[in-house]
Amino acid sequence: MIHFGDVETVLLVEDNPDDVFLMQRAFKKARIKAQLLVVTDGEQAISYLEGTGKYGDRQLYPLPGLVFLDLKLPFLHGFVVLAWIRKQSPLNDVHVIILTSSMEDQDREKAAALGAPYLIKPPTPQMLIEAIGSLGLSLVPEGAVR
Amino acid sequence: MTDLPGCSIDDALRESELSYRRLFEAAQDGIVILDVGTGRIIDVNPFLIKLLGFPRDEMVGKTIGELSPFKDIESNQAMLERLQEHGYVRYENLPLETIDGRHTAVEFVSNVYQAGDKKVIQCNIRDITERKKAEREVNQELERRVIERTASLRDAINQMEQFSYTVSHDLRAPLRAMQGYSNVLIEDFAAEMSDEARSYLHRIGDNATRLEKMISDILTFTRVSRDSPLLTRVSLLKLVQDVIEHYPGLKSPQAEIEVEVDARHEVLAHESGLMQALSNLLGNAVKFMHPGVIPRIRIRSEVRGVDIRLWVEDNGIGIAPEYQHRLFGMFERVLPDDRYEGTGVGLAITRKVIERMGGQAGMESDGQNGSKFWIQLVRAEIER
Repeated sequence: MIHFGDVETVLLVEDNPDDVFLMQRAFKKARIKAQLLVVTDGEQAISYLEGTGKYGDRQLYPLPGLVFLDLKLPFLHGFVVLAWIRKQSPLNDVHVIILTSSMEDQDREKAAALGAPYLIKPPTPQMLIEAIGSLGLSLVPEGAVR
Repeated sequence: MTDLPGCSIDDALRESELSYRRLFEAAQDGIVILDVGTGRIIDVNPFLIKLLGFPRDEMVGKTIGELSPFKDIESNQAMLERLQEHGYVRYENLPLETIDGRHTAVEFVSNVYQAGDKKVIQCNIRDITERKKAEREVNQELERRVIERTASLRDAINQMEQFSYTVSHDLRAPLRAMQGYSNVLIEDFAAEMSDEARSYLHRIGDNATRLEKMISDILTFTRVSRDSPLLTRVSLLKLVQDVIEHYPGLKSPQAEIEVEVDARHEVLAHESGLMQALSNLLGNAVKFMHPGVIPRIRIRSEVRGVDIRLWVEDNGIGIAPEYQHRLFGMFERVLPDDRYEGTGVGLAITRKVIERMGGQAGMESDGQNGSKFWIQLVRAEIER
């Protein structure tokens, strides 16, 4: 198993159940030691990160250190969510990686402007590890001295 | 000279003068006759009197510029000098205000000609107000149509962008699920399956991969078609070396590449677009080989007028001339699918990319001795 930084919780914002399944599988295969929680639209993503509504309980729903964000989401587009995250000072330490099927340059450029790495679906274990590494989070195999 | 009865020279002159007079009186253009020495009006025809609204005697004896509707015309002296020099003076569109305040436009042409033993100046003044109005209406109509067409073109572009965005996001999602689950089966359940079942699963996976590649090629093609590339100076030799460097299939012993590109040959191009086009050509050059033959590729540059042409010549299977016109189309595959992999979009992209930079792409082959593909771009100006 691999730890990265102090991240214990990873939030996946994804509405397509097949993509959720494939991401969970890649995550497991990458042997990342963190829990992967899922919300399925942009509004839920914001209430989760704000800790409002049913997400008020941080024991059950801890603040994630990393968010994998789809772009084409119900209610709020992924970029709206990302722009909102960037404006919240309590979320300064939350890393975001865009995970999308879009190969459009305009999306890539927007993600870069908002400082988020860009992954094209489907994610492979290797892609996940590289993207996380690119955030500057140290990858530490479990059992190594931290 | 024999005088024929009733047809003396005098008679002929009179006859000619009479018919001139009829034309002068009946003309639907204004006509003014000026004295060649002074530029003063000798005669005006009825049409001009009607056009300007001045009585005849208020005009005779004056110069053109002294008539208030023509007050902005060049000085009498200047016009006379120009007439002397060129034999005629012409104003295509002279704005004119008549005595009752109507604004009209006229075409004004003066000619010097011989009348008997002396020279006179004849000015023809044509009312072009109606013509100008018609022209203005045509222009307005054209402008309206341009605006309309531009709007519908913009709509079409927006629709195409939305379409490709949809393709990018939505059409790929179910495909990705198919690929993903067939991978899961292969990776986690292969041991439980018969060889036959596994081979079908591989076929599902291969087809999904192929469809994925086709979708991404269409998206590349539409992207290339709508972007206007920014052109910069690109060294062909450096670019060729870069592409070879990054393409494992182009290195010995898989292929023998001979580069004869002049280091001074630089073109105006969009660098990454040109790199994509060249990679496609080199990729094809090593791909379409007879089995067991080692690709021998020659890349060379040549000057063609203001352009540089880059040739990629191979020892591959070649393409018979009767099929060559299909090569650069979308999804055109001249060869049966099972022999050579590909979606049939590569050359369409290549040509489109090069055309968007103002260049051309083409090929030559006799169908037996390999193919010679080329791309041609404007040469960058030589720095001194």
